[in-house]
Amino acid sequence: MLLFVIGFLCFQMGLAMLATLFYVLAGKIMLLALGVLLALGAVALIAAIWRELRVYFCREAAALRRILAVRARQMDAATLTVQESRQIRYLSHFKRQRLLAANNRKHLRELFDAVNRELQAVRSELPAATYKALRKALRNHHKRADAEAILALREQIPCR
Amino acid sequence: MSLISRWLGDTLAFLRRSRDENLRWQLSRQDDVAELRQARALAEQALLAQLKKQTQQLAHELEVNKARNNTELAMVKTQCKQDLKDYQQYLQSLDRLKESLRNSYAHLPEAVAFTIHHHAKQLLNQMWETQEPQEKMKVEMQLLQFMTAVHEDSQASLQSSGNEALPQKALAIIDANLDVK
Repeated sequence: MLLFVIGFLCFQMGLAMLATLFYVLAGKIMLLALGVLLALGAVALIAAIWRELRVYFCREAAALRRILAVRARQMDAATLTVQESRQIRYLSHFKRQRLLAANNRKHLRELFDAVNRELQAVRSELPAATYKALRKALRNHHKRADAEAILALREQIPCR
Repeated sequence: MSLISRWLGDTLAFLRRSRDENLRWQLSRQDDVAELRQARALAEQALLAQLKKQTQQLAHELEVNKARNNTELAMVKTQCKQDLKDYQQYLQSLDRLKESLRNSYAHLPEAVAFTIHHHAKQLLNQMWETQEPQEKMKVEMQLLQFMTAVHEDSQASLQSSGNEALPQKALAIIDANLDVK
């Protein structure tokens, strides 16, 4: 920078040759400084990367990573056991619900058949529209698996 | 020219002095540096050994935990299977109870048999789904009492040659439970 100032002063004083010399020299020195700065930056970067790599691959760090990996596996195993146990219980509950549903269906069918037989028995005593309405309602209740409604409907059937 | 050569000479002398001083300092501290290096190497070895030991311990714990978890899972599986089997047997015994009622009461309406069976099944589900042991025991007792009442009704009907119209005891229990609710 100083060389640029000197060059400028020389130019002002009419020393054109000297000014040119200082300008050329200043340009070269600045370029050199920039190059040195870049080289220093690159060296610092490489040194930092090398340092980090050494730290990462040193035996202590590797042993520490192994410990952390084993701990992570322990935690994973514990979580997996809890989840598997929950899954087994859920499946068991689901199977039990299926058993119950099948049993409910079986007994509801028996109730439906019995009430249907009772309805058939009094068919002649009932008006056709009432009979049809009762039968339709009975079917609907059976479809909806509504046992209480079937029992209530049974109460409406006269002279059993 | 002589000025530049003097500057250069001074600079070189300064550098030599600095290097001499540095060398003397390093020589005076050589023992300390060697000691520190050795201590550091020993500390690193000790740390490494400790970490290896810890890794082995943790790996062993992991294996033990795995075995324990497998056992636990197998137990849960067996327990659930047994639970399901018990539930199925309960349902079958309730079905048999309904059948015995039908056999004992020749003219028992299906609606009554269904109501009795349904009530028993409700008690069974209540017993199964209750988590609290005391409450579970209470519901189990209720179910047993109800089943006993149904059985007694069947016996009474058989003894009176089917003259009984309805299983009174069982229906009374259902009425009582409905009143409580």
